[in-house]
Amino acid sequence: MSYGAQILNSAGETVFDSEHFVELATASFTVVGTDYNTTASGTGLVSIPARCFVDDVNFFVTPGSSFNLKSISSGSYQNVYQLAVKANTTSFTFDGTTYINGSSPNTGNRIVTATSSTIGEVTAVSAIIDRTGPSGSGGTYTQSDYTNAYYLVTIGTTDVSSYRSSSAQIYSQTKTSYVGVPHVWVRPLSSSYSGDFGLQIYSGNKISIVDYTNANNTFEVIITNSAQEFGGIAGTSKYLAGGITYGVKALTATDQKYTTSHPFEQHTTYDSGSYVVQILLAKALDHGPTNNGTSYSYSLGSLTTSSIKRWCRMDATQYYAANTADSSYPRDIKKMVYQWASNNNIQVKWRVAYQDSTGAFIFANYTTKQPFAIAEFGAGV
Amino acid sequence: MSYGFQQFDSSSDLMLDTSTAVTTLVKLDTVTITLFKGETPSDSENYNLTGVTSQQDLDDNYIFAQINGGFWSIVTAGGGGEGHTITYVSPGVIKFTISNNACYTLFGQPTQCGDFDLIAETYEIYTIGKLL
Repeated sequence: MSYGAQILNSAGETVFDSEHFVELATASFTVVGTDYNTTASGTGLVSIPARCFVDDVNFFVTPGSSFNLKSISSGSYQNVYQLAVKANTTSFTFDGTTYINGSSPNTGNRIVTATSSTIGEVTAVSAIIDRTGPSGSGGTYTQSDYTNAYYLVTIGTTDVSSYRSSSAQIYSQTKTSYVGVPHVWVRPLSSSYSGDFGLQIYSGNKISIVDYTNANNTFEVIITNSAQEFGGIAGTSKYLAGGITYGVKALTATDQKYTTSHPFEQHTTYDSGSYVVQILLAKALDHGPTNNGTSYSYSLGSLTTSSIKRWCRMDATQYYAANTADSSYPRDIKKMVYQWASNNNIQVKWRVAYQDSTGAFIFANYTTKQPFAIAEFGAGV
Repeated sequence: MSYGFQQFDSSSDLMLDTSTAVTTLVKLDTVTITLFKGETPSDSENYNLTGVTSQQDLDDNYIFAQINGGFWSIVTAGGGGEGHTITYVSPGVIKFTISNNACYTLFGQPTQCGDFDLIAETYEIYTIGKLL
């Protein structure tokens, strides 16, 4: 690297610097393990916090489309948070037919005045009102009359009634958002746990841990994001180590952006306010030279004896593969899971994920190598 | 410690100590690789990977997190997603090769591959224990 900070370990390897993003903890919680072949629910099904998807990194593109406000009677509004916005007409021709649509600000876009003063962010848009037609004619030409058409646009909980009498144009600024990629680290809460466990993902950004002991053990979970995403999370709930007003923070030069629409800015590469992933063992694994049924274990290497808690990177245990050693239906669909004997003895092995009786199974994720890893987050975690 | 960097959390627990051989997960790149099906030999693309020295090094000291479709997409979770095969080529160079080169109809019957039979995968690439 040619500038900034660089911290090396005793072997001369990069621990963090001002150019590369480490992985930092952004959330932690517990989840009760779910039995194999059981749908997770209750305390066994937990949502990943929204912040881990970096849902508040937004950028409003300017200049946006212009719209005109429409004067309507006050009784036509449902509340003081709404503006009546004239429908702009847009048209396009496809296969000889011209289609006309009215357009309005989209939900999530921002409304500003002609002088770029922000009115607020659009949270809802009504169906079009007072459009008539089709009034056009002539062969395949399809047309509606948008002369009096408008939308009721809701601006959050901002009282916008003072803008309603204005005849000035307003503008819509398109919002572009960045979506973060959280990673999942898990360990059993009990120091006496011995068994196999894997990750199951449900819609709504929810996860469960499949506990093959059938004993509903409790598991600790840490969610991590790249430091770049960590830096983009607003609020203080991401500071799991407590350091908000003190500590060490490393930043890039002003050469980073979350999306192509964003301006160049400095992004976080390291922050002592949360725990950093410290890898002990890692291995990329696939089916291996033979597709070893559902009873084969893989070593990730040896762990030294330690009282500091070890954590398993679970991302790759979400996937499935057909067990080609099982040729009769119902057929075993297998997945890689962690085989936890103790804090100092952790391997990876195949287990049956579920049984497929339909033959509809198509994908086999473990034809290519998937990453497995054991890590620590320091003495306090 | 006589040198290096120590870091403690608000409970005074030692979080990080660089006087040991501690290794963090350091992100190198986010890359999208698009490969086409049905080609002979199988479609592939080389990629310059900082510091890689062997297939063993690639397996043990790099993590490729497959994120296409969004890691948390219900489409990707569980059944979906066909990763490319990633192999070591030479110092500093690896190769992505399409792992599923065959094309099928909606009914699962083999069929001729076309221009739209491709697999695009996005990876976050992390390295462990390298001098960057």
